[in-house]
Amino acid sequence: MAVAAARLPSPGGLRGLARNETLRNRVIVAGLLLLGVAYPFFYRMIPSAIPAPDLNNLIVMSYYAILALGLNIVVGFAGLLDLGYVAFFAIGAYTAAFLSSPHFDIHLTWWIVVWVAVAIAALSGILLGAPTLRLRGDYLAIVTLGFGEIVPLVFRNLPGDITGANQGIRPIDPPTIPLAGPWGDQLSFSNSNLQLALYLVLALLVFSYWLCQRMRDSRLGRAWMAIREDETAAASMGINTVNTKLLAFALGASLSGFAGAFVGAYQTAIFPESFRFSISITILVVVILGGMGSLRGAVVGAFALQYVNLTFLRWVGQYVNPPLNSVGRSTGIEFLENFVLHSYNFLIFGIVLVVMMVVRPEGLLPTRERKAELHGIGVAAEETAATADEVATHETALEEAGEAVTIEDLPPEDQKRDR
Amino acid sequence: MTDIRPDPDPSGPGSEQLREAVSTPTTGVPAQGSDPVFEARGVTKRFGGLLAVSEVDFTIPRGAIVSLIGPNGAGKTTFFNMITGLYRPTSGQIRFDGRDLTGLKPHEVVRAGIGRTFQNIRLFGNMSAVDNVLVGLHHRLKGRWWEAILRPPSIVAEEKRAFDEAERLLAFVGLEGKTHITARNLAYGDQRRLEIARALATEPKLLLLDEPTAGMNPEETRRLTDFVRRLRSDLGLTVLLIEHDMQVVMGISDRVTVLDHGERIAEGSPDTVRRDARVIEAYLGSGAAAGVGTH
Amino acid sequence: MDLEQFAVILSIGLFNGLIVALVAIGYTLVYGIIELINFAHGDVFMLGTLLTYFGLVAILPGFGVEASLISALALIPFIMVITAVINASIERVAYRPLRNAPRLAPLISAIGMSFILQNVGIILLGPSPKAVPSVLPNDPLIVMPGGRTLISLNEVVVGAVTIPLLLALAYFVTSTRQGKAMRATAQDREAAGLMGINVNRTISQTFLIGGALAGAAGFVVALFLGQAWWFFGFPFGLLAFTSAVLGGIGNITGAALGGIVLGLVKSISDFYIEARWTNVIVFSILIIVLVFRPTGLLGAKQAEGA
Repeated sequence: MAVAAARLPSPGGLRGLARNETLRNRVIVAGLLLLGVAYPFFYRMIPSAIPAPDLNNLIVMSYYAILALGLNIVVGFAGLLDLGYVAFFAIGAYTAAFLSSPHFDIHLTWWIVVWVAVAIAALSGILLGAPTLRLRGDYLAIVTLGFGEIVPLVFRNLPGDITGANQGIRPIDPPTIPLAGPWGDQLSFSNSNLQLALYLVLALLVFSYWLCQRMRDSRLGRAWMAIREDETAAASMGINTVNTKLLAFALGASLSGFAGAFVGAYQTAIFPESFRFSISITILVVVILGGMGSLRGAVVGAFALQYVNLTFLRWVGQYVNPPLNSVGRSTGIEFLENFVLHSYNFLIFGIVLVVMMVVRPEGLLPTRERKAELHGIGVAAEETAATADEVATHETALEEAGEAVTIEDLPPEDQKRDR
Repeated sequence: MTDIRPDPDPSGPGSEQLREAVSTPTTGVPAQGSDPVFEARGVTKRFGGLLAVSEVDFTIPRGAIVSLIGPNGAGKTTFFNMITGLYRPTSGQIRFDGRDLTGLKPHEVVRAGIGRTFQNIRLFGNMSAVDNVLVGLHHRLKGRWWEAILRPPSIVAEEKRAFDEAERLLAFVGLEGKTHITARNLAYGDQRRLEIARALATEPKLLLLDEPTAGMNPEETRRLTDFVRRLRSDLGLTVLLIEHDMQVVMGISDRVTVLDHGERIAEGSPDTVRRDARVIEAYLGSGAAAGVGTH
Repeated sequence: MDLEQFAVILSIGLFNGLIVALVAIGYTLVYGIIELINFAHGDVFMLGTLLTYFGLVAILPGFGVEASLISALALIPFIMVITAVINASIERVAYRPLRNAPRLAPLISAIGMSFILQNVGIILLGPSPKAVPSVLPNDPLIVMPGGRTLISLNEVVVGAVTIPLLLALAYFVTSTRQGKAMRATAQDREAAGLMGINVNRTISQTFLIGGALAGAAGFVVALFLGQAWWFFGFPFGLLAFTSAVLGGIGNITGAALGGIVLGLVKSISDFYIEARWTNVIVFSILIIVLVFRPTGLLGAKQAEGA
């Protein structure tokens, strides 16, 4: 889904962009989408020796990509660490459940409900952000973590006739289109029709990507990045930092609500237990893995991580678990006896977080800004002049040639600098 | 989308008149006939028990180039930070262009017409030169978040104009052709210029420059000094400098104010200040500088 | 209102609070010195419960010693040393390389470390809680007229472990050379380095101390609750972190007091509201304190705070 190279609207990017780069990226995006659309028709034919994701896995990957795009607005663009992102996901899902299920006997159509969910999630983002955004980064992280814990707990603890308590809410009406045909009275986009659900979530993903791209390449996107780079300098250039950060929170939250509304309707059921801290962390891992601020990175990261999580580890587990289990049975080592590879996914995520921070903090598909920043070159402030780090930054410029600047655009004197 | 004002200083007094005005020595009361665009009265800042700036009165005539000097720790930057809204004065009042700025937030101060640079360059290092300037243009653009998404023709046109203006500003400070270079990859002197371009983008009436020649060699310093003069002559700006280089201060300023230990100890024309006994004592006594005029 | 019941609840809260205080100090020490919320700290505490479990079911029997209160107490120094070394190693591997990185980088690394340690817990303990042999005598020590036990013997053991450690820490920080080096480093790392303090070693020491205290807390909890579980770290860590924030993060006395206050809040909420709302209350306190009084009740980084 990488139209990322086309930084069209920021005219800053326009000139530096080679035209064939844009074209190439459009072709890649179109190809990937086509693959997604065609996938339901051929995935059953893939030999079992190849660990291919099934449709449900693909749907999960896609909505995680939406979640990652949303969190990327907050973490990647504006530089605010949000550890409670799952709260907005829950709020979106519960909104969908309340408004289209027998729970309150309200049956609004999902196509309206989803916008209500987005609005309510965004509103929650503002309600949480307004009092907390002036806090410094790590305090903000903890406040959001607390919020992320409180929201599902409240859904769980309130009496069943309000929030469904532990049992959650089910059934939830799926998104439908009243189009009669050989399939019946209507088309239904839920887990009873995985193919259509996949198409719906892919459409939502493309829409989310487009939103993020437009926001990034705007006055607002520049303001976010300026705040991320140096908040004091940003304020001293006339940016109302509080409102701008609040917008990042609200817009990030709204994408989470968007995904939540889809997931509730897709699963036709929600449970408070499914909105755990570990989801916030998984999304954060995706954003970091992909490269903070990078839209391509968020999408590719989500697909890669959930592929490993849902498909690959289970596939490897088929081969690894049984021998280890039998070794365990014969030696009496309980850990081996009960060994299930994919249940250690969070061990892998943990290692990814540490290793990425220490070794490659810019992520796998970084934006060039982020790479330079995270390699300890300091955030604009105290540096008097770029020195040895320039080499690194030029490498980045090369790697990211498509993102905003191509190496040809750098005047020769810029490629070797004395101070 | 407004243009950079092309006419030099339509309203302010001519520089002849100015020189006359500021040569009246050290009382601190603005000289007759001058038109103070900026006025600080009794400005005080306390950090806990520490009195960083104490009862400072300070005026800047419209169209003047004024320097604020003093040994390290004299409270210059604290004073700057109060003007720009980063600190709120403990007491006192700051007026600019007929408005009370006391206690405004930094972005509100910018919108009132005061732009600034930083002592230790604070560019958005990972953004391109033009994006840095575009951030400076932020408050003059109108695009709201939904317009960022829907991108109506008016916003496309606005962005186009903003980009053109940013390029003009880059050219004005001598950075033509460096539009897309990441800010941190610019040479040191260019980074200083970019910071000024970014500050100019906020369309200031008063520009605050915090040690603009720090770390520059004599040639770069000379060029920058000329450039500051052009800011007044071409753009009609009023300029307030914090500067350590006495040659720069004495060569460029219409008026100099000296702070020491948070208090104003002298104010007047460069010549007056140069001969002021308290100023000499402050500099030599503190051991901070190699003496006034020889730095 | 049943006053006797209230007294019991206060007593339970107080002893819980002492344990929370031990963990909270680890957060506050580390935050004081490198301004990092050491997310993995709660999981180091969890390793303390794990080590206690293995000490009692494997190590002691391995040496032919019967698991009893005395032999269990003999495990404490070993557990503390191990958790101290683990904590300092975590700093070496996951935080030190990021000393000059943007602030969020070590925090993210710490979150990753937390997940790694949790999985170590799962690997070693299995997914469900393990019963720790009960070696604590539960005999009532002080019985109130109404027949309720105000203080039982196991609570005395909690006090006997935690209070001396808290006092020893206070002495260390205020009166020893290393303690002063720690405080100096917390005040201004660069200046401390210029004054000849070995900053890296001081930071390592801070992690050693925090880890040791967390190990001791893990020991006490394992015996007191009779369980060791990989998931103890997260909720307990958040409770302790909230205490540290409540007392003013960076402030050691504050962390200890904050721990006790939250211990009381928790037991009061458990009894008078409902246990399932307790976390909501704790997190709400965390948010409210951070929003309205981010320096905590005692103020951050006071003279005695490292």
